Amino acid sequence: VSQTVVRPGGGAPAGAAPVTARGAAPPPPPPVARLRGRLRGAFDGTPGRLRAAVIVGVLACLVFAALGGNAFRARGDALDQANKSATQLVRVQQVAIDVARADALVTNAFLQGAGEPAGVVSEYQKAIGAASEGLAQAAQAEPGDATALGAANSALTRYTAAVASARANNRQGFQVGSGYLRQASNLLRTPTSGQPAVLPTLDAVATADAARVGDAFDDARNATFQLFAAGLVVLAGLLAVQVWLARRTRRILNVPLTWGSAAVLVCLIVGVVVLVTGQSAANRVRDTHYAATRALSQARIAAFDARANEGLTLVYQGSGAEYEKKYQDRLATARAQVDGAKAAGVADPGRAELDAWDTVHQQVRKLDDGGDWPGAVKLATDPSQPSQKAFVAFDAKSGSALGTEAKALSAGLQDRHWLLVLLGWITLIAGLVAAAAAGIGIAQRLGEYR
Amino acid sequence: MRRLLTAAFVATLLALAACSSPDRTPTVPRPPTTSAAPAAAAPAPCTSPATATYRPIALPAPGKMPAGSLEAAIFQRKHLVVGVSADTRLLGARNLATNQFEGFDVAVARRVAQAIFGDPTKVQFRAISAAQRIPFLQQGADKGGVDLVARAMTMTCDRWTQVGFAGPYFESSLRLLVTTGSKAGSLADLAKAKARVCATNGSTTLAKVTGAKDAGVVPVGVPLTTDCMVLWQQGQVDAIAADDAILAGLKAQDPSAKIVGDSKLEREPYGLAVSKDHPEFVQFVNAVLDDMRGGDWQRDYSASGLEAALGTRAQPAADYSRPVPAP
Repeated sequence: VSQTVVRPGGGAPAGAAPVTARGAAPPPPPPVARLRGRLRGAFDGTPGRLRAAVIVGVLACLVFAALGGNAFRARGDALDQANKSATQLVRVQQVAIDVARADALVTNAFLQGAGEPAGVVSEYQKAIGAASEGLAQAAQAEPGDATALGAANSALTRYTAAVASARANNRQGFQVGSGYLRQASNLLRTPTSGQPAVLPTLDAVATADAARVGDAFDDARNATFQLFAAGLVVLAGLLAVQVWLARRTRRILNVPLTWGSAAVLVCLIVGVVVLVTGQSAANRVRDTHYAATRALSQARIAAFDARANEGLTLVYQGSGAEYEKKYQDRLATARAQVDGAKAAGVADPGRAELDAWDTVHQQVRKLDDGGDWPGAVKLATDPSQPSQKAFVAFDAKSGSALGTEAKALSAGLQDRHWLLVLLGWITLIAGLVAAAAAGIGIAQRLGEYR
Repeated sequence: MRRLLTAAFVATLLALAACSSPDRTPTVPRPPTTSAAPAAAAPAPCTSPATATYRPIALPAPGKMPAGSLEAAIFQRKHLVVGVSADTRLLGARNLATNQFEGFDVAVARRVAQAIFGDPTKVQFRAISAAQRIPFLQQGADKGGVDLVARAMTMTCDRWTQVGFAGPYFESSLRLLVTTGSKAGSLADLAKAKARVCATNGSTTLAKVTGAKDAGVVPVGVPLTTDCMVLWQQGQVDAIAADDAILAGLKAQDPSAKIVGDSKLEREPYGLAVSKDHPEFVQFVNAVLDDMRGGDWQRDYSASGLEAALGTRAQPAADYSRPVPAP
């Protein structure tokens, strides 16, 4: 054991300090000053510094236990939140898909007058039923969306009423039916003052959900930095204590402190590796399954919307030009999103089918513009014609791709969740063990002064 | 070249300055909106009454069309192309069950086909919007337009500068559609009740309804009359203002509707519109319309369902005082 040199201004070892203090100051100092004096005494000299080292080492390890453990918990929670918001996003977009699909079906059936195919009408009703259920589930799952979804639901109720009137009048050959169909179309697409429309409202909700997903991914990434920073701080602290001890005590290694540091280091390395690989896995999910899910949903909404607008150009005949413009606009969106889905790794999201449908659409327009309205209607709506075939093929292909991607998205975000929980606990325990080790290791040295 | 352009620009400026009213100082250029608006709103100079048209020719036998005329070219083409409404019941509407167009406008157009071909079915009907009427006529049937427009088109001095009219073949009047229980009989009554009155956007009717705004009427403008009908059936408007021939078609779709207002006020004489370049075809169609005085007009009026809704009417008298332009 080495004897430390007492520095001139440093004062005597802890035991002698109160005597010196009492002798130096005849009038009794106020209580605060007395406490301060005693505290200063506790950290005087080598034993005092050892006590300070105990506190630094133990605190550093406790901080690591808390922050490190929390980093894993935060990552797990962030991915849970991403999964929850992404599930909600898929749900809300599915409602929009169901509504747009219902509208495309009923608009095309409208062109048949009283001869509207019964199968198509029952499909319309099924799609509306699915949309209503989806709205209720989505409002329950995310209370933050409930107000907007309530507005969408109310517009959807008015939409179905308008469609019912459109069909009833149309079946009697009453032209006012087309007026109701236009009202229905506006309730779906065009918000008016104080009257939100279904599709724009759902789009706004989906955008908010997508922003939540983005925030959750950002939170997940922050966990890595949190662990890394906590680990570096504690290792630096422990290393500093170790070096100081080595200098003061002429022992190269303090064994318990070394074991504690090793535990922290191992935890840190394993943790950082797991979090970094986990992060790149999460990024991959975001760039593939998540991007594909979003693109496919938007492609389907836009394509059904375009399909309905194709029908409306024929319903309104002479006044159909504005609907043709909307058709072009929505088809361009559908194409861009289908390409986006392909870029996100979907092997075949149905671009060829979409293009084939558009080719027939141009023939439909040519027939109608050339005065052959019945021919145009037949080409656009008859199930045996290429238009209907191409569109049904696109529906099937993009729909099944969306189902696959949505499942993969959820699975990807839940992947190895147990590992994060386990590592969180291990880090917490390792931090506590290291704290104990630091305490024990320094206490050994401190004992040599008693 | 640049000097030439500058000279032309200066000349235009001078011409504009000369046009502006004298009370404005020439140094302050008039904003284009104020200078354009009065020109657009100003009615075309009415040298003849709006209903005055070219004298008819002696109606030739079907297939014996005068050489060089549009009717001869139509005969060569083997069908007449007519622009009609697709959703105005009793005037022009497509029957989805038969895929045939029906209504009084359609019936009159078939008479023209009968006169050219001896066959009323040799017509290709094109559903067109109100805004497409004049452009489609100017285009002509061979370039994707039409030969004739039979779509509740009122003969006005303004339109005479762009197209030619045969007719009038029907005299409609601005009236109101209300519920059978309503006591309102005029726009003034509706104004007293602060009623909401629907009319189609851009129509003279909406302008008239809006004119009664100060009296208390709440005007509501929509794209098509069927849109008015939807709002009326949903109780969102109290009345629909339109030509009575159009209101008759709405009434035919709802037994709880009735048409009120004086049928002698605000007359709207409907004409069959033809390209401005073919006054000879106007003369031919006038001959066809004149021929309908033998009973065909009454038969078509009755068969269309208009008579049941509007009561007995007679074919409007013709005024052939408009001088035929020299070829």
